[in-house]
Amino acid sequence: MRFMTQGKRWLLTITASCIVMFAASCTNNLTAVREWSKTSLEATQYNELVDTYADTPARLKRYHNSGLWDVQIAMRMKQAEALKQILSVVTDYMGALTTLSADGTVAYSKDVNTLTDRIRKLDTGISGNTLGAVGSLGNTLLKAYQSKQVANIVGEANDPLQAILKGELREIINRDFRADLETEKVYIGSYYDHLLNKGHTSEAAKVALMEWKEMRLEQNARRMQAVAAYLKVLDKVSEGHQKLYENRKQLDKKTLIKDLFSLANELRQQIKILTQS
Amino acid sequence: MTVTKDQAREIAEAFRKSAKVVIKYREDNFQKISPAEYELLHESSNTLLSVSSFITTVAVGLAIDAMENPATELKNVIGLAQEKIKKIQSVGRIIRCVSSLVDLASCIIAKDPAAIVTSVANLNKQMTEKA
Repeated sequence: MRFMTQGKRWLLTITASCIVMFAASCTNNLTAVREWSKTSLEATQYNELVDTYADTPARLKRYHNSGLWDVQIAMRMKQAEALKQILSVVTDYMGALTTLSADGTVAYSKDVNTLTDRIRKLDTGISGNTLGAVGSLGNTLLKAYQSKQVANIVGEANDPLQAILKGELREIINRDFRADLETEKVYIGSYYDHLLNKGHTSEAAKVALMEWKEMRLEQNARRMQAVAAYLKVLDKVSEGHQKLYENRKQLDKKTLIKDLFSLANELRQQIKILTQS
Repeated sequence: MTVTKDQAREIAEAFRKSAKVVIKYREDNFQKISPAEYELLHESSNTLLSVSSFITTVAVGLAIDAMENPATELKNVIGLAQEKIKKIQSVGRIIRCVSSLVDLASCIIAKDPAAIVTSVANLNKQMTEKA
C-alpha cells in the first residue's frame, strides 16, 4: 500500500530532520546535574554529628556529676530528631532532583523504537530514515521536557534550600556544635589535670592518665574535623544549587557542567573525611 | 525575660570563657592555694561549663524553631518534584498506548483475527494501566 506520494515523503523527511535538529539544540545534558545531586545526597546523609551533639551530655557526665545532664539528654534527644528531619528534607530533595535528572526517568527509547517498528510494518511508505528521525525526535523532545522540569524545580527550591543551608542549620553546626565540642575539650583538660594535680598517684597511674587525656582529646579533635567537613558539605551543596539556579535555563552550559563536576569531586573528598572521623 | 538564640550563644560562650579563666587560675596556682580552695575552684569551673552546655542546648532549640518555615517550603517543592516525575513517566505510558494502537491497526490491515484479539487486549491493558 502506498499512502503518500514521493514529494510528500521528501517533505516529511526534510521536516522531520529539521525538527530533530531544532529539538536537539534545545536538549540539555543532565549528567552533571545528576552527578552533583547524587553526591550531595550521599554527603548530606552523614548526619552522625547530630548524634554526637545529642550524646555530648552523656559523655560529659563522666567528668562532672550534675543533675543538669539528664535534663539536657532529654532535650537533645528531641532536638536531634528535629534536626534529622530537617536534614532528611534536604536529602529527600536531592533524591528527587537525582531521579528527575536521571536517564531512566525518560528512557523511552525502547517504547519509541517499538512504535516506529510498528509504523514501519504498516507499510505506509514512509522511509526508514524518516521513521528513525521520528523516533529520535520523540526521545529528544522528552529530554527537553525533562530539562524544563528540572529547571522549574530548581527555581522553586532555591530560596527555602538556601535558607536552610546558609541559615540556621549552618549556624547550629558552625556555632553550637563547635561550642559544644569546645566545652567538652575544656572539660577533658580540666578533669585530667585535676586528677594529675591531686597527687597521691603513682608514676604509672600518671602515665595512664596522660594517655587517657590524649586519647579523649584526639576523639574530640576528630569530632571537630567532622563538623568542619560537614560545614564544607553544606557550603558545596549550597554553591552548587545556586549555580544551578542561576543557569537553570541553560543546563548544558559548559562552565556549569564543569563547576558541578568539580563540586561533586570536592563533596566526595569531604565524604572521605566524614567516614574516617 | 525572653532570650534570642544569638543572645543564648553569647551567654554560653561567656560561661565557657569564665570557666577557662577559673581553670587556668586553679592550675597556675595549685601549689599556692589550699586543697580545699583548689577543689572549690574545680567545682566552680565544672558548674560554669555545665551551665554553658545547657545554654547551648537552649540556643539550638531556638534555632530549630526558626528553621520550621523553610523546611516546610522545601517539603512542598519535593512533592512538586515527585508529581513532575510521575508526569514524565505518564508520557511514556502515552507512547506505549499509541504503540498498541498502531499494532492493532496493523493487525486490522493484515486481517489477522487472532492478532486483533491479542492487540485489543494489549491496548485495553495499556489504557487501564495505573499511572
